Amino acid sequence: MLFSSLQAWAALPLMLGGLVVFGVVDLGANPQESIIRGLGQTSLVLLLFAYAISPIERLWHLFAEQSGRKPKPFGLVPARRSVGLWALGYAILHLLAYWLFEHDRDTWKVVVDFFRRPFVTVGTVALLLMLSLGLTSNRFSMTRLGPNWKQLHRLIGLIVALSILHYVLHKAGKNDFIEPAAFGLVALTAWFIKLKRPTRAAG
Amino acid sequence: MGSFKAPTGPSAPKASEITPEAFFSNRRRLTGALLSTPGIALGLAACPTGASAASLAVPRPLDAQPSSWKVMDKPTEEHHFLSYNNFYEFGTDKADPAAKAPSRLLVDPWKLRVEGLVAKPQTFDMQDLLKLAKLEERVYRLRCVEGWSMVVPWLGLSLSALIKRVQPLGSAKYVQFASLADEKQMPGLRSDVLQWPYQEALRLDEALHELTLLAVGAYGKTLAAQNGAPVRLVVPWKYGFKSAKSIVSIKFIERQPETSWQKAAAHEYGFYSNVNPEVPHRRWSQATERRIGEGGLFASRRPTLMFNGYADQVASLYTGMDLRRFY
Repeated sequence: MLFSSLQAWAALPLMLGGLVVFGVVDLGANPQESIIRGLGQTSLVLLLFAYAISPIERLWHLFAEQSGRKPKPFGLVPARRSVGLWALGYAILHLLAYWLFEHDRDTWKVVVDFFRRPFVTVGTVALLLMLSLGLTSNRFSMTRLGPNWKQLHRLIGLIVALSILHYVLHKAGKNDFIEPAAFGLVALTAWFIKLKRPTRAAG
Repeated sequence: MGSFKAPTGPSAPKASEITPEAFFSNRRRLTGALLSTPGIALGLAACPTGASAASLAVPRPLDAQPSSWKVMDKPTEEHHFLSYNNFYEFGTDKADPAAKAPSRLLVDPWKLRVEGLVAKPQTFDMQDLLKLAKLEERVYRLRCVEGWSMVVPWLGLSLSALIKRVQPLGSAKYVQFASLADEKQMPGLRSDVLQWPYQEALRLDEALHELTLLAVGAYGKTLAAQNGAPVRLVVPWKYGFKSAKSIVSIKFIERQPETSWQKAAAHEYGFYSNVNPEVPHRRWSQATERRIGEGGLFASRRPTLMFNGYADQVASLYTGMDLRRFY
């Protein structure tokens, strides 16, 4: 139930996008820019959410222990894969929108950007890493990769860090770091809780 | 005494209380001005110093002669011009100026101090400025350094008219512009994104160029607060940030000054900042631009023109200069 409602929430910005294409929603003077940025932000929010699911479970577990109740899972773990895949989906759309609106479908210009502009380099590397996680998020890859699978999927921490760096570099022009700082704070908190995790499996 | 009186019925407060006389160029249009008084009422109510005589910027009809400076591109729709702005004194988001400036920026009375290396330093009010020359309407391209552009029908007069009035000395080589910086009116000043007041500058010959406009209006009306009311610079062959808004000081100096954007990021924003498709910004290309409001969602970007399309008029100012070095 929770799982399916998460699916719906993650798809909401996509549906909004549909309304934009059909002219129902007005995105202001520069709709192309709003779309590129909106897709990037949505991807980052979902990515952070996926990253924070195990810390949330951990906190929930601790909270139950503290209040003397029998710990039960919060129930987000089954949704983690789908949230991560939605994050990947939005990141791909973000790149496509950038290719379409910023470079008028000129792929070569995207390649040049990759080598010339650090924030594009960082964002693209994050996307490629995310893609490798997405492609191996199926049961077949899990059995095939065995213990390596877990190692590979620990890269989510690096992907989160790169994505926030991408955002910081983008915002650097206006020295306007409130939003990236907020994302960074959430990520660091989640990371800290993960570090504190006892060796026994929790949740 | 300018204490606020509530409008009674359909009739509004006396125009003399709210509208600078300088803008009464056409009495027939007064009705149009009066229609906008509810905006004033709201604004003064929101203003903590509402008891003072100063008033907010409410665009009113303004007459001007058409001029030959008119690009053939279709003018951008006015609502885009009024809603998509960079005016960091009111916040760095494009929507901030329209949301915050109209209820805060006090434009009447306005004093523009002109000083430095001039024979006749003078402080102008808006009436003095409008007496310098006949107002002209000029339709200019506006290219923002961020990669978007508009086409704006400005109302104003050549800055050269003001410069000739104050008579620069032979030692004056540069002209420095400062925007208003009042924390009470401008919430963006709390951020240290730029050094305040916002400062821009031109070489004297650039400032004297007849394209360089001292704008007091746009789209047939006085300037809206978010567009830099009541008086701003418009230098159409340079990136938009060179065209300082809400100017309170013009100073003639001998040495090239540092501008606010140079102080913030000298490697990204040079003194000249002429529109140049061949010199990329550090973080993006300047080869193309998104013309605001043009075509549908999937419309192509436009190629950016050298000197924003004004090369015939201004290229000679830069003869022999390496424009990659002096970006």
